[in-house]
Amino acid sequence: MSIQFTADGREGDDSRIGSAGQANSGQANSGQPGLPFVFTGRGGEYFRIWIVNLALSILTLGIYSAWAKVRARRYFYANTLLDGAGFDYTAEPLKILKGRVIAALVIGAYVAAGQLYPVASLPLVFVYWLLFPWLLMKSLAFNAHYSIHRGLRFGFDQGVGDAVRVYALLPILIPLTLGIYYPFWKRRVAGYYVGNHRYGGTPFSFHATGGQYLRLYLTALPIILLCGALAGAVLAGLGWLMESLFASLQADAGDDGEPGARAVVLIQLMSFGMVALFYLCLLPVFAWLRARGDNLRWNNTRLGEHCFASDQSAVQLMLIYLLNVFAIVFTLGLAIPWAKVRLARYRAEHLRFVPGGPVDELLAGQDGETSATADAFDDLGGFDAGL
Amino acid sequence: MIELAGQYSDGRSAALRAARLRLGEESRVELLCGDEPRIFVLAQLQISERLGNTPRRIRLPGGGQFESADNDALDQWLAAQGRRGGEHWVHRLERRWRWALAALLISVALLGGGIWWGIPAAAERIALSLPAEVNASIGAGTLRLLDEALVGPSELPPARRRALREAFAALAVDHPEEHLRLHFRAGERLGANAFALPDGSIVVTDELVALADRDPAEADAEVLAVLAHEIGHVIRRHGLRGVLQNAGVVTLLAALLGDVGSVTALAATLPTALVHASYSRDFEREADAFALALMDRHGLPRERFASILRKLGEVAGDDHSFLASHPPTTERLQIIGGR
Repeated sequence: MSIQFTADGREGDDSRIGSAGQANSGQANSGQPGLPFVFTGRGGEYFRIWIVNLALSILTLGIYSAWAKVRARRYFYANTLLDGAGFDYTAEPLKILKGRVIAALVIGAYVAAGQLYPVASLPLVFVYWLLFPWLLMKSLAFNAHYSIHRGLRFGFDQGVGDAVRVYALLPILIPLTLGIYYPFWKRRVAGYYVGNHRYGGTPFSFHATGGQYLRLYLTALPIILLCGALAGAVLAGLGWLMESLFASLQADAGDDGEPGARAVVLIQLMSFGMVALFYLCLLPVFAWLRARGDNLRWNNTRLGEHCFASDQSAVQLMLIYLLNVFAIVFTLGLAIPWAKVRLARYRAEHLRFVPGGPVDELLAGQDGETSATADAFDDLGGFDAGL
Repeated sequence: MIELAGQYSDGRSAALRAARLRLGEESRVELLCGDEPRIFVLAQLQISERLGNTPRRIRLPGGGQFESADNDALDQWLAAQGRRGGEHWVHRLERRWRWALAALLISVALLGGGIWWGIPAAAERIALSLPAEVNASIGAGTLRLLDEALVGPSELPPARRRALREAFAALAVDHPEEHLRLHFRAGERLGANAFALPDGSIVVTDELVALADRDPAEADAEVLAVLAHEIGHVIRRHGLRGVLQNAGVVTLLAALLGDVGSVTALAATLPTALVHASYSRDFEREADAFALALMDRHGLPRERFASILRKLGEVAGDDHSFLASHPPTTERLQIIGGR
C-alpha cells in the first residue's frame, strides 16, 4: 500500500482515530487514492436553523445576522468530515459584527462622497481600489484563524504587498492585453489564496502553471460562445414575441385603447421570465468554469507532502445548479437551505485528501496558537469584512 | 455519572485520539485518554453551543480539546449542574418544526411589510429631508443622453411653445426652489410622451402637444394636466426615492438570503424586478394625486386630465408609451372622476 495515513511508527496505540484501515476503506469505496470528504448535513435540519436565525435577524434589524452567520458556517464546517473528523468555526459573532460595521462604513462613505462630491469620485476610486485588497486579506486571515480541524487552527499569512499586487495592480493587465492575461491572473489569485493559507504550522502550496489556466479558459471558450449566442438568441426571440403579443393585446383592447391590467402583469411576468431564461442559458458556463476551476485548484494544492484530488463534473454541477435555481424560484426562497446542503454535499463528495505521509505529524504553528494566546489575534485588529 | 465518548486532540499536532469524558458530581470532569486521567471543573471548560446534531467541542485548559457527538448526555449533565442554558435557547427554537414554522410566518410578515411599506416610507422620509440638489444629482446628464439616443429637436411653432411655457410658469410658481424648467422635444421613438428628470427638467414631446391640440379649446389645460403630473414626480422626489427603495430591497434580500453562492443568490434576488414594477406604479398614483390637487388650486378642470389620458390610450402604440409604467387608465380615470 502506497498510502500510509498514519504510518508514524508509534506502536501499541490502538486508541488513535484515523487508522490506515480507514484509509483503505476510502480507497475501496471509490477505487481512487486518498480519503474522501464526507458531508453529513441534512436539508430539513438546516432549514430549521436557517429560518429561525433569519427571523431573529429580521427581528433585531440585522444585528443578529452576525450570530446567524456563525451558526450557519459552523453547521457546514461541523458536517464536513475528513476521516471521521469534522471542521470547526469558532469566530465570535461580535467580531463579525465589527467587520460588518467597518465594511458598511467604508461602502457608505464611498457612496455618500460620490453622490455629494462627484469631483472626489476619481481619487476615491483610487483609494478604495487599494483598500479592497487589504479588506479582503483581513477577511481571509480572520476566517482562516477561526477554522479548526483536529484541534489545529488554520492560518493565513498576511502580505499587504502581495494582496495589492494580485487584486489591484495585476488586473490592470487584463484590459491592456485584451483579456489574454485573464487566465494568468486567475492563477495568481488562486496562488495567493492557497499559498498563504496554512494548517497549523504547515503551509499550503500551489503548483498550477499559467499554461494550465490558459488551457482551462481556452477549452471553455466554445461553451462560452455557444451559450452566449444562445442567450442572445433567446433574448432577441422573446423580445420579438413580447412586442407582437403587446401589439395583439392592444388590437384587442377596448375603445380607449387600454391594454388593461392583465396585459401589464403578463408583460412584467414575461420580462421576468426573459431575465431568468437568459441566466439559464449561461448556467453551463458558470458550472463548467466552477467545476473545472475547482478541480484545477485543488489538484494543484498541496499541504506539505499531502495532496488533494477533486473530480467535480461540470454536467453534474450544472444539473445541481439547475435544480437549485428552479427549487429556489418556485418556493420563493424557501428551498435555499436544501440547495446549500445539496451543493455542499456534492463538493465534499468530489474532494479527496491524499496523504503523503503520517497526518498526525502535522504540527501547530510556531506562534503558539493555543487557546491561551488566541485572543492576541483579535488585539491586532482581526475582522471579517464579509468579502 | 455520565460518560461521553469522543476524541481528544492536544492542540499541538493533528493527532486525534479516542477518549472519554467522565462528567461527575459538583461540576467535576475527568478526561480519560491514554495514561493518567486529567481532572477539571466545569468552570475551566469552554463548551461550544449546541447546533443541530453536530459534535460539541469542549476546550480544555492548556490548549487541548475534546469532541463528542453525545449532545443529549452533555446537555443533561449541564442542566443538572444548574448551568443556565444547558441547552442553548436558539437551539431550542431550531430543533422544533413548530418554532421553524413560527419563524417562517414572522419572516414572511416582516419582510413583506418591510418591502411594501417600510422601505417606501423610509425612502420618502429620507428623500424629502435631503436638499433638492441630492435629488437633482440622480438624473444629471440624463437629458443629454435622451437627446443623443431617443428624442430630437422640437418642431413646435415658437408661439405655441411660448404660450405653453407661460402657462407652465404659472403652475410652477408655487415651487420656486425646485428649478422647474420645461423642455420641448420631438418624441420620435417615444411618441406622445412626457417625463420628469429629478433635477426639475420636464420634457414634453411635440406628439403629446399635437394630441392635445386636436381640441384647441381644451389643449392648454390638457398639456398642463400632464405637466402637473410630471411636476409631482419632481416635488415628491420620485427619482431619489426610486433609487433608495430599489437599493433598499436589493440590500435587504442580499443581506438576508445571500451567502448562497453566486448563481443561486441571483435566483433569490430576481423577484426584485416585480417589486420594482409595483413601486413605480405607486409613484404614478402619487403623481396623479399631486396633479389633481395642483389643477384644483389653479382652476384647471379635472376633466382635462381624464380627456388627455383617454387620448393617450388611443394612440398608445408601443411599450415606450406614457402609459407603460403607469396604473391601468381605467383605474386612473375612476380616481379622477371620484374626487
